[in-house]
Amino acid sequence: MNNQKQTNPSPSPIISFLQVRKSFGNNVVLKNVTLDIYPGEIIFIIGRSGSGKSVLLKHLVGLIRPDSGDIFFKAQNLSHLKENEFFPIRQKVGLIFQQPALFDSLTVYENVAFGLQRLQKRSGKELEDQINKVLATLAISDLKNRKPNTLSFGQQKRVAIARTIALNPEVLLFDEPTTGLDPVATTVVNGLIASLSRKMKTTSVVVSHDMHSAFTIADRIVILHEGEVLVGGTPAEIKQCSHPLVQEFIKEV
Amino acid sequence: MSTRFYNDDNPSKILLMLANLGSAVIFLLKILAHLGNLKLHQEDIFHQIWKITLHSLGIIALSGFFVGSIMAIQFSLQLKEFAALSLLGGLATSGTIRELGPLLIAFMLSGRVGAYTTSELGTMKVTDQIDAIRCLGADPIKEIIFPRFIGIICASFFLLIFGVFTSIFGGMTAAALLLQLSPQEYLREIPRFLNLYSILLSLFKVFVFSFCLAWISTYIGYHTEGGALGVGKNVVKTAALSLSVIVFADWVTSLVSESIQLLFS
Repeated sequence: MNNQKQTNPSPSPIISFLQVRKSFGNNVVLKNVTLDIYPGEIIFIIGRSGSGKSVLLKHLVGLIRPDSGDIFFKAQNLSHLKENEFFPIRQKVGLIFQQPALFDSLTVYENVAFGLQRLQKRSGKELEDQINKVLATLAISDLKNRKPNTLSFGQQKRVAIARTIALNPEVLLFDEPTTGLDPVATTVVNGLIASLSRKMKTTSVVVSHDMHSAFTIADRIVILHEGEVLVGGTPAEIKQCSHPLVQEFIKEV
Repeated sequence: MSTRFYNDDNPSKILLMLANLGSAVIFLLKILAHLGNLKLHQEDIFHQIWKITLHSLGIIALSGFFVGSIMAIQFSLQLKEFAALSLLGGLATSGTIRELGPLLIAFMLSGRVGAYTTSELGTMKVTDQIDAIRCLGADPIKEIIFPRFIGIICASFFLLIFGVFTSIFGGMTAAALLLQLSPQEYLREIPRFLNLYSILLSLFKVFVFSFCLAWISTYIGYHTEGGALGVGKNVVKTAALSLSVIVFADWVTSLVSESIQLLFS
């Protein structure tokens, strides 16, 4: 068992972490993380709180920079890019935060338009069509004139997903997408991640501690523990893993 | 993106303070770099000016009215002894415009606008809205900091003018009710005491105070960490720091203005 994709070993990775290390003060969050992510897969990165899952994700869009090591997106090294050099990367790699992070003063429509106007310079009919299409995909067309504070948490999460997928990214990063959701909403979000990956042919990287969701939709699961990749493999392989920490996670399902 | 050094390994307090000061200066330079694009942001800036002015108008009116009254009452005690009560309006208004007006506006704004700006930006930071702006291809300093920074400074000038008028009205009312001085008598001597230098000095002080307030409140708000608790702590930090800096800036500007006046007298 390793962290290489088992289902399709031939393609080259779309994302690679090579011996990435990150610390905040004396707290070492990531210790030499090496991980490959392949095009089109849904990969779950599972770990306890504070294991460095979200930190790993934020490296991919330049919100956090590594202390050492390299991060590659399609063979481009992201480790030393400047803030403005990340703009093209952020068109291709979309991050959906743990909290919906919607702009309070804007309507749902304006929230979805925000990135399209700035990153893709879209306007007029083209902008309107793209927003309406995305809102329809997520079944939230009826919410487009509402402000975020009038929506439920689940609805806000869907708007946040809409805002990111409107840019047609190649990679979707989900930071704890089901945290704070009831079981029904969790199923809906899981279904959404799976269908978006299949329909849009995106690669989905999901950071979570929800093993049930991982077993339901993941192609591959990686367990991160104390800033290191502990184990990786298909859901079936993870189920058979005898490592006590993995068993602890499995017991929660 | 982050230019803070809070997390460096056990730096001394002086080093930490210097690092934070350097970080704040870099932050300010990043804001000022957008000055050339004022026209692009005019809608956002007008919105901020409107919001700040509207939110602060009531409290400025009330404070201006009572400060004007207090100044009139205080001056009247001395002027009565010299039978020079007719000079009351001129002295009270000049004192308000030169010193108390700008300081009062700055204090009121630090409590209201400074705290509000820090809490608004702090909440945006801890709920990932600022990171979301970056992820959606925009510069948060250009999108949300610059309009607030300019908005605070511009709104302060409107509020100063408004505060001065309400303080004159307050002084006039106190003089009429307590000293039986007619409004005509109160207003008559104002031009004699109020010269162009006093007005320019007042405007300069407002600029300096509001600049400090805008810088402090946006910097602290933008660098908030630690959830709701962090927002609360930083709001208090903004209030305490901005008041201290405003008082210090008042001392410096007063010293400089006195020196300039001596030089040309």
